Amino acid sequence: MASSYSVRVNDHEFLSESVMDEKSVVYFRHSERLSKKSHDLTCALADGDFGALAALGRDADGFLKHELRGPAWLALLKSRLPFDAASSSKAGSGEPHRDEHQVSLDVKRSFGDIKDDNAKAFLRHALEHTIVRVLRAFPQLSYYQGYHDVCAVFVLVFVHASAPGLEHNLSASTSSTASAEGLDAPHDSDGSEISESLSASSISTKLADDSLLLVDNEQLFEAVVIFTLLYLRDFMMNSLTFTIDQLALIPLIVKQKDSHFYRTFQLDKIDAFFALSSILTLFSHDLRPQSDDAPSIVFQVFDLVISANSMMVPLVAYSNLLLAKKDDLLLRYKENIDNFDNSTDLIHGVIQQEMIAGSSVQLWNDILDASRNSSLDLPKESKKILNKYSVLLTDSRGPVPLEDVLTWLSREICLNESVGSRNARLDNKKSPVPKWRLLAQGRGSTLVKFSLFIGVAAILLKLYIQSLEGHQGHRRIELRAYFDQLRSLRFLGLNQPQRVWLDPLKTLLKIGRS
Amino acid sequence: MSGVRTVSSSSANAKSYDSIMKILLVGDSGVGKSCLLVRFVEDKFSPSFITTIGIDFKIKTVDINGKKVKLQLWDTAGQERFRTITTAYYRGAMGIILVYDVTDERTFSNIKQWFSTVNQHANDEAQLLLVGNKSDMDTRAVSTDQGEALAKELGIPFVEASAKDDTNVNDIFFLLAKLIQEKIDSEKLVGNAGRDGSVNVGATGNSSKSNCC
Repeated sequence: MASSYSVRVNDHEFLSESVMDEKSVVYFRHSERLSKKSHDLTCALADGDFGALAALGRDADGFLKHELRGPAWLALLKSRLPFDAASSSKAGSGEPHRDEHQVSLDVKRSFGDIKDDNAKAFLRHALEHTIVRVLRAFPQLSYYQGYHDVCAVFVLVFVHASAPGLEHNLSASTSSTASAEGLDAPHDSDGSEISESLSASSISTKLADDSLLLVDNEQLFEAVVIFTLLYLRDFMMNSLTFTIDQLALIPLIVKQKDSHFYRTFQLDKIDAFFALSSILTLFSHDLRPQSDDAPSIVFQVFDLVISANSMMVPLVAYSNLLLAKKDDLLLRYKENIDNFDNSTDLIHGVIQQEMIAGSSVQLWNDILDASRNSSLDLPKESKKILNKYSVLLTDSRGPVPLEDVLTWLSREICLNESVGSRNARLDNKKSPVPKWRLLAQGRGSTLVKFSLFIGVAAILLKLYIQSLEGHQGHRRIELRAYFDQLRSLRFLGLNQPQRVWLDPLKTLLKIGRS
Repeated sequence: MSGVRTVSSSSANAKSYDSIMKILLVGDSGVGKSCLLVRFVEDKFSPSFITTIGIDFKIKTVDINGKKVKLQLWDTAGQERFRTITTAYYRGAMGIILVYDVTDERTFSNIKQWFSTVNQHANDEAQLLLVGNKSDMDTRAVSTDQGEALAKELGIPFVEASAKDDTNVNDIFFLLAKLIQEKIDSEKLVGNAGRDGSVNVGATGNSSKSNCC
């Protein structure tokens, strides 16, 4: 009894002197570490040392606070894709983009957790302005619901508050004080006047307590453009095909780490649609409403993506989240196995109830740590799944000229459109057809078809000769029947040419088994 | 912390419900699907409710004619591009709510498109219901008569509702659940999917029943 009591006190009330001391030491070490890191970050920024900057961003606590985060993001992003808002103002026609109606619907539903009405209106204005500007500059991009969540993160990072009280909040020593909280501070919004000043590069608004909110539009725009072109291309096609391809990597990452869980939780059988909103928004959609500390976690996910220069981060983090929760997930899975119509529903329902809803800040910090230390290498099957212009495959380590990235983008869009029309022709209600299956169905190039024909013909000939030499009569009959079929198909003309390419494989497989 | 009512934590041994119904909400972006759902499940309303991306899932247990019915409610994203994913969740749905915004003519005229998508992907036995949301608004663009006429044309029941002032929101879900229950009782076609194994046997090979644990 006595020991359990002391444990309780030590754990929860910190009354014991020795614990107090240990805690203090830990606290001071932590704050010392943060102030040293803050200094290092400032130096790396001043020196333009991108290597050091990226290493610090990948480290625990990421870029610490928004006043360092904004410049660090912009510096790293610009080091990979030199993009200048001023010199690229001629990009795009400037005509309204086809998705602007959807943008305005989603912007209206953004920043709902910010209580000050002026601050909310200001942030929404900055958000809509930025998204519309990006879409008009690059009209080939298609807007997706969730892109506004990603851009909202950038708005929060690039917004500054000028009043002393807010400034203190925004530049607090730990990253857990997000600007969203700082903006919550003034509640008496009714009597205030919205005094919005517009200039070429920045917008500002006065809040109820006379503090000033300010955002540098040019920096915000540049950061969002580069981030979009380097990391979000796959999501901004006119369909979700390449997004679904990315989701398919999650089960593969899980399989590498825990094949038992992978099989037991049926990740080999269903599409990972349950992860859609987390991946499309880099967790900014799911984490936001959960707790006051959640925003800092979202910012650190972005820190990690930008520092590591890899969109594997969200996929790896999601996989780590699944693995961290696997016992609870499997328990809920067993409890609910009879409650759902099918596996897709079951897994989705279980994950949504267990993971996103019941994930603590502590858990998320562990996930972030695990993700910082995880390999960001692609699972070996990835190249078969992803299109070759995917953000996961193109190399943006060195400075990549804007023209090159735009070429990747236009080629990716072409590929997406061709895949889309194939899928439409197949009229397949299920997930996109693997590329090998398309090939087998005769949708490959003529050259590929021809090579396939030669190969298959050679194998068939060899098997046929073998079967003539063998003693199994039924096999000979099967092969002869097959050749008859081939001959008859040849005379069928052009009506069913594709079947020729499919059937040899089928029959071969049958022979192999018999 | 969770926005989800977890009835299922009662575990399979001591079931706190008599049957399960899978219900789906579809319709254009911004018509208020999530708001209707949150009003019904949590009795809350926020004018700036967040966007749904992909699919969201909620549970609520209700009492229908003395029986405890566990409603599995699937909320879908309205944007066109998500349709490839959301239609994967139509399978096994016993009830589908088609929602439009009475202040937005465009969302009303798109209902026919939603109706055909539903017919293409959902079970034939699924009970449909047409809902005109935001009936509290002064800026109405679609009259009640127009809503009724469309419902009649499609051969489905119709309710006008407001998630904001909580008009008819419970009625939507109770009406739908009752209609589904009547179908089950009269036709015995749509059983409690997956529970007695009588439904969707041929739907796919990956039924939850096939799992080894």
